[in-house]
Amino acid sequence: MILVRRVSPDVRLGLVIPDSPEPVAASARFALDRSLADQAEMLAVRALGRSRAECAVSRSHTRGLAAALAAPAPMRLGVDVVRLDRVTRRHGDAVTGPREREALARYGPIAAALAWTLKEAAAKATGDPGRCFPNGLQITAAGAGLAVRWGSRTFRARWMPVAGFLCAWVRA
Amino acid sequence: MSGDTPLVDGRPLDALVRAIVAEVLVVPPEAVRPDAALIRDLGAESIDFMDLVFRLEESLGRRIPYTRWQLFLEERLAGRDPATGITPELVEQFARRESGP
Repeated sequence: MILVRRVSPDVRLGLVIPDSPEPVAASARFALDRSLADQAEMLAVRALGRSRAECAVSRSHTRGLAAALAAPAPMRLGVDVVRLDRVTRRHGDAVTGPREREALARYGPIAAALAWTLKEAAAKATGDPGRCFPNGLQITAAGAGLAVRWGSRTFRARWMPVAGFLCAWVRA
Repeated sequence: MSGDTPLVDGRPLDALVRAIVAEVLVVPPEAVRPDAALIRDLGAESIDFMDLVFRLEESLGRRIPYTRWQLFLEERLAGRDPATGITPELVEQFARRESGP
C-alpha cells in the first residue's frame, strides 16, 4: 500500500506499507526497510513537484512501514514511525519529563507512542539527533495540538495513525 | 566474546548480553556473533536500543539513564556509522562499564 499526503501547503508525506505475507529474516530487514524508505522518499519528492536536490527530506522506517517527508529546502523537518503495540508507557516515560507527560496525557492510548515518535522526529529535525534525543527537546501543548521545543526554536508537530502504526512529524 | 568477563547472577556478562540481544531483536542466539552489526545485520531499530538498556537495568539491578548509552556510543563510535558500528561486543563493553561500582 502506498499513501501520499499533502500535510501542509509546502510539505508532502509519503508512506509505503509492503504486502509481504512471509516474515523477513533479521539479516534482510535493514536492506528491505531502507528500500521501502527510498520508495517513500521518491513518492514525497515527486508529490512536491521538485527535484530531490531542491528538497529537504526526512525519512523513517520500521518493520512493516516506511515514511518520508519532503519540503522545499532549506527546512528543518523530521519524521518517525513506530508500531503502536511496540511502544509502552515505560518507553514514553523514559524520554519525557513530568510536564511533557501532562501535555501528552490527553492523548490517552497513543501518548507513549507520541512521546517517542515526536522526540525522534524532532531530533532528526535538529540535524544532531544523537545529542538532542531525548533531553534536548521538550514536548509542549500548543493550541489544540503539540509542539516540540529545541532551545529557542519550536517545531510544529503533527501525526497520523495508519494501519497499526503511528507516523509523527515536525517542521520548523 | 571477551576474556575474563564478570558474572551477573552467575552468568558471564557476554552470555547475558548475547541472550538479551537475541531476545530484544527476536533473533536466534547463534545469530548474535560478537561482530554482528545490530542494525545492519540483525535489524535493530532505535526503540530496540532502549529495550536493551531496560533489560540491562533489570539484569544489573541498577538504573541506567538512556543518555549514558548515548554518550557511550558517541565516545566509542567516534563518527562511525551506527548501522555497522553497534555490535554485541560494544553492548557488552557498555554493560561491563555499567556493572562496575
